[in-house]
Amino acid sequence: MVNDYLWNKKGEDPEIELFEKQLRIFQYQELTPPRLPAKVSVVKPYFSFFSLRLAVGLSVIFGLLLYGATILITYDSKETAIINRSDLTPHPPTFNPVRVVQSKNDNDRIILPIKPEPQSKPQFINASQRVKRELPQKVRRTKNKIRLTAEEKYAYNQLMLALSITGSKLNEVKSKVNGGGEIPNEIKSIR
Amino acid sequence: MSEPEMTGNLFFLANRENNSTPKQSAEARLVDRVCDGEQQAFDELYLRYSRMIHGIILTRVPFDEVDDIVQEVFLAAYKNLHTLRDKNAVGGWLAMIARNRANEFYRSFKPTEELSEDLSHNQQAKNQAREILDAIRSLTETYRETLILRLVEGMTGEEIAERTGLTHQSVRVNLHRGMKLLRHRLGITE
Repeated sequence: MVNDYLWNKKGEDPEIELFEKQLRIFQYQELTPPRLPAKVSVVKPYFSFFSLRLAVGLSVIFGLLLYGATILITYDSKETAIINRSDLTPHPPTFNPVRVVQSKNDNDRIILPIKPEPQSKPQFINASQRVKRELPQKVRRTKNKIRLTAEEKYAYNQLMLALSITGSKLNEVKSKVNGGGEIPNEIKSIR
Repeated sequence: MSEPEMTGNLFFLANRENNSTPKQSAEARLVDRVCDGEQQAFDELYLRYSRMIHGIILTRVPFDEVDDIVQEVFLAAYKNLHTLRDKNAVGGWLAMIARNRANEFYRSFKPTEELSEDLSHNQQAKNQAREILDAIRSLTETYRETLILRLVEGMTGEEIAERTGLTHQSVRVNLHRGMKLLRHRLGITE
């Protein structure tokens, strides 16, 4: 290795020495090194990684249980609500309209239930048909038409049943009177 | 390859490892001690590398600002020392931080003019020194860093190589070519 002033300051080189002398004003003046901040003792976490995983797993299980319980509770409350609502809703009285049919034998009468007329299925029409369809004409409502409620209709039916029974009884009495049949005791007492 | 040649090669490799390991481990040990928060180790690191850091920053930043940036570099290094992978390359790592800090300085730099502390005395000498420094700063990064470490900070070629992590050959070449370019810039004929 060649020893020269530029490399290891051994020997002489006036030019470089002059540069060094002139540039000395920019040289680093040793300063005291900065003080380090106070050492902070690192506290190791209490739980290990395993316990962290365990905690996460338990919290997931707990969350699932909570979710399931919430679903069950909401389901039960819905059911209760339905029951309560059904209890509270006033039901219209159910009527089974009947009609009395006179059998061939005079003494026997058969009470037959009146079957409701089957409702016609809704008919779906195309848009094109709907366009072509004529508008219904206005119909004047008859003022005297009476609309009966279900209760009224039931009472009406009962009344009609009673009247028909009475009518049949009267006919029976009449036929007995005219035909010479035996008069029932009730009629005799009336007379 | 003959047996003596192979033996020689193996001996060379073994010797090289033996020579390099203790030197590297000393630096690594110093870094470890600094990481542990030992003030004495930090002082040692500071005294060992502060001149190099000063020189590197001086190539980029006005002289008045250099000392502050040197302190900042060491504090930043202390904070991030645990991220250093190769603890044997702490010199190169510090040099990189110094370059980055010097470049950051110009992001918030407001142009000012350096005033001489003593306007009447030695004004001519200072002007000449500033002229030489400006000439060195105008060179490429490779030459200006090596020249400032040698001419301003007074480090030998070996010291420069050791601190910066460059090879002796690179430092020698940088010094000689840099001096040649500097003479050319200053108009000095050999």
